Amino acid sequence: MKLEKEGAGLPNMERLFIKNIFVPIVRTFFTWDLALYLVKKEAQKIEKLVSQIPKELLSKKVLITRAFAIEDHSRQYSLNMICEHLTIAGMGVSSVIKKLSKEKKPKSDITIEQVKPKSNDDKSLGNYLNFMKMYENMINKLDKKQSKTKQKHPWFVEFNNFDWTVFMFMHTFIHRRQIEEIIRELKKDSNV
Amino acid sequence: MFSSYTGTIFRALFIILSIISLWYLAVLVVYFLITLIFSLDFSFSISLGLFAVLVLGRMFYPKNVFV
Repeated sequence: MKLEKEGAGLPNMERLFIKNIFVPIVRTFFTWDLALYLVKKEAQKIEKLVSQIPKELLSKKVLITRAFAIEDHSRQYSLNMICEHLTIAGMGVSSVIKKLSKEKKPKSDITIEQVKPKSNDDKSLGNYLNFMKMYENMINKLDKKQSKTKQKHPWFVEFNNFDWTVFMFMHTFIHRRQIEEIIRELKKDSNV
Repeated sequence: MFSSYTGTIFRALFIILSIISLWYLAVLVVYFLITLIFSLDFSFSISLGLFAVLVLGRMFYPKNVFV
């Protein structure tokens, strides 16, 4: 099956719904602490889900049906690839949050192509969990003051430091759902 | 059974509704305490009004959520 090219983005209706309805609602009701608490819970769920899967299946690429807020190109990932993507994207976002918190504009925009997984490494889950510890420390040390400086998300609007922390939760949540879908498919094919 | 796509949307809505409920609960508790302290009549419509004021406030402070 031919997937769309990387960086093609979301279907227009889905993108506009998230940009114009979902983002303002989330900005209104989330707080720094809530965003951090929820992203930590998501990381715990991912750890529980992925660690129960035999090592030989972690690198198996699985094609899943269209998932909400995930571009077509990312539909055929392995569990390792998702963990790697969460780490790469998370590190990029942490760096943006740190810069925006100092009211500094990051030098370049984040692109979807930059945060695609490059390998299919079995250490991906461990790397992701280590990254999450670093991320939690970084957020705990922040001033929790919303920055005036913003950085554009490739699909949506310009986000300030707070918006990016909420994005970290929503992004992890969406990929945790993708992990669940991959595990469902793996269970169909084998006795996991 | 829901597809993964629909399931994700429903779960996201559930999370947001839960958070909105938490905010309302916080308003309700504060309002209830005020009615107790100042011996005022408790009214759910006033609590909803206070919640609306809080939501409007958060929409524009500390930043405009639409920009």
